[in-house]
Amino acid sequence: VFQVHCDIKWHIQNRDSSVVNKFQKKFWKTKQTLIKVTGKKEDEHVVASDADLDAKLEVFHSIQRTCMELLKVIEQYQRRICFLSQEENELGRFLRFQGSQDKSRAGKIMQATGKALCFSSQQRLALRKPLCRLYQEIETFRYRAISDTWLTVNRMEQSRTEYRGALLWMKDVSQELDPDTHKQMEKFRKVQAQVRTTKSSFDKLKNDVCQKVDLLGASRCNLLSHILTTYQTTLLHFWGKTSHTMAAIHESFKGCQHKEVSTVKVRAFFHEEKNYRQKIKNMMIKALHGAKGLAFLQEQRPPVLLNGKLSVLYFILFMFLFFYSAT
Amino acid sequence: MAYAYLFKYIIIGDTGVGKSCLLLQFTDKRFQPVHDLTIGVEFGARMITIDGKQIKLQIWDTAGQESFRSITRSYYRGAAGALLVYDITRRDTFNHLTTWLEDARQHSNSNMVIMLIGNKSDLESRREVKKEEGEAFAREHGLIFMETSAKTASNVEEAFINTAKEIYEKIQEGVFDINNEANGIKIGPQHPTTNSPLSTSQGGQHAGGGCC
Ligand SMILES: Nc1nc2c(ncn2[C@@H]2O[C@H](COP(=O)(O)OP(=O)(O)OP(=O)(O)O)[C@@H](O)[C@H]2O)c(=O)[nH]1
Ligand SMILES: [Mg+2]
Repeated sequence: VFQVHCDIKWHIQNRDSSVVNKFQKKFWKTKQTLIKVTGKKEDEHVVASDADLDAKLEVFHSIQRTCMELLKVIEQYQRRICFLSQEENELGRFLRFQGSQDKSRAGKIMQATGKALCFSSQQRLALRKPLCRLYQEIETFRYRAISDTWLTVNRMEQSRTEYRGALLWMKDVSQELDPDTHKQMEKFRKVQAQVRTTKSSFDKLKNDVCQKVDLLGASRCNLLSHILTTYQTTLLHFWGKTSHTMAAIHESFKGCQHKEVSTVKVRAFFHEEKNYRQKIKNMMIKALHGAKGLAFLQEQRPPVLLNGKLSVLYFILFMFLFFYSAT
Repeated sequence: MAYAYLFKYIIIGDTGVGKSCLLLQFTDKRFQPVHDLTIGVEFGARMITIDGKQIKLQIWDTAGQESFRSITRSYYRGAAGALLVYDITRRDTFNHLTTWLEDARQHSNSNMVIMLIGNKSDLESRREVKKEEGEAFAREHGLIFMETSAKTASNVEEAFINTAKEIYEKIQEGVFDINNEANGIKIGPQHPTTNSPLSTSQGGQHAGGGCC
């Protein structure tokens, strides 16, 4: 009977202590969560020992953020390409119509210019295809790679909270520790076991996160450089073709009466276009170099497009001048 | 086991310098080739004899990893001796000594005897810190210095015992107040020379001690 009694007592005590243990684990985890949520100052050494991880998380957030930004930019850019193409096309048709009314040499030139503009407006739309592709690829990248990494990051943060909670607990039991006191040592061993398990799971997830973020960065670079190459080729192709037609028209201006005006204006126009081309090229190079370049793209895009629009306006103005001085 | 005195030691230094290995070599005369990271603190104990007296060394082997720094600070309290260890094959562990020393001085009693140890002296071919540099650092900061190898056991005994001798001398000189536990010294249960009430109560607590 005594034996049974002892067994039961032992059993209850054991169960009780495991309940207490569980409660304490929860308590310290909650304490750590509170510290984190309320933004209270955390142990500087514990924070410092996660410096490499936190740097990686910074990279991850930047990838996340810039992918979103890039999507927005591509969408706007694409829409503006459409607008620009429409305007260009209308101007071209207007010039062709006016040119057909005018039987003089000016009329011929106007017709030729109008035709070139219509051509350019069609060619410009070719840019949309690689941009669409870029948009889709980034969207997929976000849904697959980023959200997968995000899950791992979340799991890591959970485990980090548990580990830091366990460290708080260990610090607490370390205040009055005496290796010759059995009771204290028993308690300390329990906490030590808790720190050990939470640490090993945290270290594993920490490693996972670092590797995944590295991979994420590399694969985005890969993706961008691959697709932007197609974009770049299309763009250069487009500019090659249009500048060729424009140059041909410039040739045919040469024998014209109002030589001074026209040459200056045409030169100014081509100068604008050249700048535009150079800027796009620069942007491309920067974009290929990653997120910073992409931010630059967003910053620089409105002025560049304005520049494109300006050159069209320039053209209108110039054609009017030409038209009036000719009649 | 009966002892005349108990000295509390603490072993500190960067992770991986061989603190746990030094302890293991001293207490068990074994070497552990795999790095088994210490979590918080581990304990060891051994009896030594100085001047015909039995002295129990209670050794606290602390974790060197940075995340444990705030925890290990609470272990300095009441230590009579400290082994400050660096790894002669890793210059950074030597460079961090000043931080460790500041920590030790700030969180322990001012009489604590500190022994500077350049460990892994068996790895001569990979040495990055010259013996003279260790000596110079020790001289500058008033520490005792020794190069050891936890692997070959070279100088390990000496490191622990010389520190104890230094503490013992300080007791003889009256520098340590042995009745103040904060100094990291306890008087054993059958100590013949003291008859203060404090020591008897301590003695009761430690009768049949040496659990670790
Ligand atoms: N060759 C050689 N290796 C050693 C020596 N001392 C320790 N090591 C090795 O160094 C590594 C780390 O030793 P530990 O004693 O566990 O290191 P520690 O200082 O306790 O590290 P933490 O517990 O993290 O603070 C192990 O792989 C040991 O085998 C030595 O004297 N010579
Ligand atoms: Mg260790």
